[in-house]
Amino acid sequence: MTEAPSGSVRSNDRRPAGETAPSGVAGHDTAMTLWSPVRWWGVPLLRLGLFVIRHTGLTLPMLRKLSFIDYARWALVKEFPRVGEPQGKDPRRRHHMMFESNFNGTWNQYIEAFAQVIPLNIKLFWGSSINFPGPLPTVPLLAWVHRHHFDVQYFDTAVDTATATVVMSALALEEKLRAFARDSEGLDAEAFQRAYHTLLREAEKDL
Amino acid sequence: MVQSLKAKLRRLPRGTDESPLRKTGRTHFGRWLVMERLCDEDGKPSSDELTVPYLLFTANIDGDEASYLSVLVERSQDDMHEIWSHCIGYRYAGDDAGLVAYLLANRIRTRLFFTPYPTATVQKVASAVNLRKAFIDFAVRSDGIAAADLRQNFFDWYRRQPGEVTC
Repeated sequence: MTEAPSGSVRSNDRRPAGETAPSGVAGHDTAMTLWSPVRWWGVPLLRLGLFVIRHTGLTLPMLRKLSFIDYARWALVKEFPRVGEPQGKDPRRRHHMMFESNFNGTWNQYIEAFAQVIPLNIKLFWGSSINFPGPLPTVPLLAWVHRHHFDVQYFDTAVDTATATVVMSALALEEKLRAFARDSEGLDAEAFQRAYHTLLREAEKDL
Repeated sequence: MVQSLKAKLRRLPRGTDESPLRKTGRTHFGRWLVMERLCDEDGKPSSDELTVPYLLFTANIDGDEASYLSVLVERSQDDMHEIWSHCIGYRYAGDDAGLVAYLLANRIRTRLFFTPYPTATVQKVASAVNLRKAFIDFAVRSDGIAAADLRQNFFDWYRRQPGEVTC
């Protein structure tokens, strides 16, 4: 857990000498993991809200606007799985919202973009978390995020040379190239050249 | 024990084909982190305590969890057993199936998951990214060439591309 600006939570996660690369970064991707305590009345609201979004796709188009997000995950956790002693019996703990995401860019950019593009979604997801300051202004929000973030000890990605935007562009371009190759095979050279230039114009944003 | 586990995780290869996650061929993203305490926001005793530290492993994968974990453990046997041997309830030295069953029994349910490319496998993402790069190179090289050459060059290039791209 990272150290809060007030110093109220201290991290004992000291990186060994000589390790310079942050373990929460792989290529273009940064990892974020938050656990935030949820007020009792927020639990049924979150269960309902997450259920509705999951089954209707509501708000997902807005998340797609944040094109630098590789993925995001939400879980509501009350009890950890029990494996027996010496795990011990957990005290009566409130629910926690686990949020996990990978994105391209810095934390500040990510949080600020989230807060400005989808402030209502931020309130839905975290409005019932204790001491959540709201999406705007972002300075207290960033401080709250830092208090609830966990450093990763290991993080890796399959394709670390591409951002989320590049991956989306690459997938779209592949479809266009397949269609172009299929449809242009029978064209003479002049017609092919015209079709090729049309392809370049249509695929410009994917290149 | 916690420091030993953290040190082990930090020593794991990443960013190369030796990465235990990349060896599965099915991991888009994956991470391990150790949770030692939750952040107490309201000062009330015990509401946010952990009796023991927890190891959290999350991954975005192709396919189902059970077969994925089997592949993960099989292809990085020593590392996976060493990592989870730090955890309470682990008693599966030499027993890959037992370790997989232990992991499956300790899952947390995800209520909502978002990705902008939900149907693309790891292989598809990698091949699309490589194809995009190759096409950009081709387009730059082909700028201004004669129509007949362009047509021939395009199909020569296209047919050489690996993976699912076929003509």
